[in-house]
Amino acid sequence: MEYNLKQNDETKKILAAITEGNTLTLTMEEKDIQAMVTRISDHHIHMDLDDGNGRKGINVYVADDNGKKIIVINGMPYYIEDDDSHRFAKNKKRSGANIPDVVTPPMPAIVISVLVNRGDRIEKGQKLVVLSAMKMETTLTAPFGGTVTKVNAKEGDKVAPGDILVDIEKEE
Amino acid sequence: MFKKILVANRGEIALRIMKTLREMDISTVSVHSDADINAAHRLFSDQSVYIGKSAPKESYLNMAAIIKAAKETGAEAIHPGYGFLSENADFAALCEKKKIVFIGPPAHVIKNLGDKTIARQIMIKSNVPVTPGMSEPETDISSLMKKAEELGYPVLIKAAAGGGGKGMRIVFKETDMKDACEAAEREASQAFGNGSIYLEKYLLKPRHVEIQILADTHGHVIHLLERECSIQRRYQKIIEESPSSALSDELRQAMGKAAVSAAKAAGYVNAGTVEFLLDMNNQFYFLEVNTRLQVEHPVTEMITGIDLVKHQIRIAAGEKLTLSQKDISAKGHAIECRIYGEDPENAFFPSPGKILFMKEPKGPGIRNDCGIYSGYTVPVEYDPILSKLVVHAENRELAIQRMIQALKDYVILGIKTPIPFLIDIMNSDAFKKGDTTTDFIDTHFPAWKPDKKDTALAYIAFIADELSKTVTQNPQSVKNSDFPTPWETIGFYRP
Repeated sequence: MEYNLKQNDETKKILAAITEGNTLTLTMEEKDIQAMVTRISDHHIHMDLDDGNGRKGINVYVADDNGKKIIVINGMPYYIEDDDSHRFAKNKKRSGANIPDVVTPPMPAIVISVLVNRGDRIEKGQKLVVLSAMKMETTLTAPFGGTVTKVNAKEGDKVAPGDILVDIEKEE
Repeated sequence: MFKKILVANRGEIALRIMKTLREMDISTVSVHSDADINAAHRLFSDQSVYIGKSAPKESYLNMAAIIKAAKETGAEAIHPGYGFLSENADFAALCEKKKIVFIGPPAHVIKNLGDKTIARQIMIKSNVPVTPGMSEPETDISSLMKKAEELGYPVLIKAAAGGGGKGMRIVFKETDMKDACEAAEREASQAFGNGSIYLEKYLLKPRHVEIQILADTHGHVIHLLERECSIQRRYQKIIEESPSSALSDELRQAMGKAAVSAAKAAGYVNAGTVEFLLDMNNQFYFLEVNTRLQVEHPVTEMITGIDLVKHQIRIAAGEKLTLSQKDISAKGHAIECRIYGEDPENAFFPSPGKILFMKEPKGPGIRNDCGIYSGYTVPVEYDPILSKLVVHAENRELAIQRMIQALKDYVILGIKTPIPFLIDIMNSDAFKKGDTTTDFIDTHFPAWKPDKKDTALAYIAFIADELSKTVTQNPQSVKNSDFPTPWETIGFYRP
């Protein structure tokens, strides 16, 4: 089997074969690795690795989260995506969180105040919405100058990444 | 002794307090909001009372609801924990009026010390050194600007009612002053219900060293040595330890003595903390008194072997302190790391959400005061603290090694935590040398990025998870530990 796994923007090709019982043979960057895999629980896997230079046992912790796997090894989280499933997946509407040009919270938050109204002319960088998450305040600013066409949030609202709080018509 | 105590708090601190109450055979009553219906503290308590909606103002800051809960359940005393109503003099007074024991100092002491400007006045009178700055709160922006000019930038804006870094801003230049004051006022009034602010001169490269005190109702005051809490982000501590690598025995005694006289001058009762800033010349300045149990109290408990919560309850019940100053000595070294729900790669932004899986570290000398569990959703409404990981070992070097292993063994999947960042701090030369000042993170870790050195292993883990998961999903598979045949994984077919 061929896997194309992606972390951040880097993709790596890995060949994997089940050789016997619970042992995997993997080829990565022209190196062969044997992994004896013991699943301990839904989120805990023990791997006995052999890369030709000796065996090493390691515990890894895994969870599926939003199309990625979170994998924790020695306290460090890795966020890994399957590039193939990504390619074949339906063209999912990307959440606003990844688009820099919309006014959306970077994390789940509560609206403290909305500083603009519909029809306001605003400048790039102008403060639009004050948010609070876990008692920390952040202010969302205008990604570009223009006119506010719609305000979609009010004080006390619970909002999440992808929710567009203020619509702005860009000034050309 | 009390038969039943209500804990007016949530999360890890409510649990920590209730654990001691259980040991003392005292019934526990917790309170919860809408957001906390599944919170660990509610599930742990003998009884829990719903006190209102998720917003802190409507629940954990809702005095009437909490008093009513205590009355209805027959709780004789209220432990406020830290944050929320713990330093609210009105609440302490209300408890007194309603004949419920408030586990903390008397209302007037909280009021005096809670107002940081009055506290400064008390300290000045009893010859405890204070940092240069104002001793009166101010709301007028232009007066604040003038004061800042007199003190000289950088200045520190502080909430008169402050604590925990809320409503605090450091300002380097005049043009930032107005916005900073407004933000500090708003944050302060949200956190404490009081938006008054004042200014102090901002000391460069100070250490934050505090002294734990215990005072009974019979005039007996002792200190339980120091905690070094210099490593902070957004003016909030993230790593604390004891003993401090900066203190000689002589300095320790001098600071302990100053803390005891500060407590006496203020008429202090119960557990409290006198915070000092220590400058590069080992001069110490009074910062504030925290009239409550501190987040970092376990560090003191580990090195002294004393359960501070137990003593708080005994003192509140009117008992005499069974400890005297000569009974207090430090054994070994303790370090605490605060595990917040936040993203260390992204300016420590809050990271609420569902915990898909977690595993706590275990072993000799490891303590984790924890308020979360697998499947729990960390709410957006409250402080991001998830747990406090504490280790105790023979000396500082061994405590650091123990902490690194404990952090590596602590798994929280689903939300971001600073665990990898804390590991890097513990491994740094600056921390190992004990070079801990309040600008530690800005100086040594200005734009921290994780070193993802085990990415290859993570890829292997990814494939191992994908392939072995189909086994448990497929009831027809008999050999549980083996991988499925290609026919069983046809849905996952790859060329």
